[in-house]
Amino acid sequence: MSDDYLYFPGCNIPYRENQYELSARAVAEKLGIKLHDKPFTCCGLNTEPLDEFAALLFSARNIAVAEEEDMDLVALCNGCYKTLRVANKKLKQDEKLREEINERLRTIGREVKGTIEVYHLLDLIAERIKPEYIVKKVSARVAPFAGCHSSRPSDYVDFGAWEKLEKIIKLAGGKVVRYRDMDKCCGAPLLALSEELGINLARQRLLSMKERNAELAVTMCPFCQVSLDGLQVKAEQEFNESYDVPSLYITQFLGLAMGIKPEKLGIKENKKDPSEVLKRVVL
Amino acid sequence: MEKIELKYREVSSDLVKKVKQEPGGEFISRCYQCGTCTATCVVNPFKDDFNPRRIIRMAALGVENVLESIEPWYCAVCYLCTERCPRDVKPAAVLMAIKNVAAKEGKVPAAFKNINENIAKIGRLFEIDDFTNFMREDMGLPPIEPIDEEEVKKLIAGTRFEKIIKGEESET
Repeated sequence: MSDDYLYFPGCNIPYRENQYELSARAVAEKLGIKLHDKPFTCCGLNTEPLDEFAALLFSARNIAVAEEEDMDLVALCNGCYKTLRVANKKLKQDEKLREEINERLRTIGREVKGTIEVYHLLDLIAERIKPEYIVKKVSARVAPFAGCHSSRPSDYVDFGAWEKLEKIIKLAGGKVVRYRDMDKCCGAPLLALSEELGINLARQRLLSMKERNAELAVTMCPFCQVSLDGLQVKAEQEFNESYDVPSLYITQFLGLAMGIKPEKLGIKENKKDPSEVLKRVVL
Repeated sequence: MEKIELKYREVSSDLVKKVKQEPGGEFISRCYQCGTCTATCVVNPFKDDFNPRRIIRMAALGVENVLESIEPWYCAVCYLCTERCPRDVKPAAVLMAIKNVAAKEGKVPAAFKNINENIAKIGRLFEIDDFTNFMREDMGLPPIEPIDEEEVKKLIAGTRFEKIIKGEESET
């Protein structure tokens, strides 16, 4: 297995969730995963509702860049992961479609040949993490939230995201709690059309986490985190309720257990302050 | 963009054909209206008029108004319905195909149009300006380099997507 990967940042992480990238890079470095950088466009996800072919064109453009560098792509965002993974598989399987896409890609001097793979960083972490990397225990009751596009549509994306997320949480000292509707949407995709709908969906997830006395939520996607973290603060005000389930990225959670300093994990960037819980549970 | 109303005068047999021609719309006619998609849907409990079973039925009947409606655009594309559909209709993909047909005919809600105008111009949803890169540098992260806008322009030149963005009505 290679150690070198092209990091696909997507649109959301560099714009408003830089702490995910920061903590991901810190964890990746300790595990010997080398992340390289190139300018990438949107993965294509946002264009799907208007024109699936154009969405595939954006995906293919990014896949072609990775092929030029002869490196596999690694995404931190479930949306980017799903979109690039599906596109890559379709382009490999469907010769006619690949030729149609390549016809357009040639106008910008690029081409997809089908030589790379697309991974979610969680998959790479799960493969490399070992008990000897763990120097502290984050002994909280944790509600894992793997989101939708890490495991659906299952014809295309199926790397066992939930099992791997839970495995890492347990290894880091957490106690996994299962909760009602845990595999349902976080609400973030609805924010463009209706903030009210987005908040309502986020609230459902938070209520069911609270029902099981979860102390922390752990996410692996910037959309899910925006919902469970940012919208948690909003929902608490709007509904005059308290959920008290601060949400961390899996790379922040694992990073703490690996002994990486909270500053190097960007924990103070999270909207719902987890410092009280962390004082109690990081041993 | 309004609620779908059933007007028989506006029923056309072309609609199903158009939906089936889009990627993902192929299996619309398999639907036997069991409603598993709507029962599974996370949006429906908070928005009664987002009912995937009904939208698919309307499209299958050829009710053209479905293209005018904002309803299909409320799909969160979480694929739960797609996992559970007993007829493998792939409802999320069928709704996507319906949206693609609507967009081709120039019917795109403003929120979706704005997002894609950015993508057509700068290649991404949000512009990463100097301030954001300065903040990233402060955190110890490398800068996000801009995309060559000419490359994006060339990539989409003359495509259906470019026409949708420019608001040019395409042939139906």
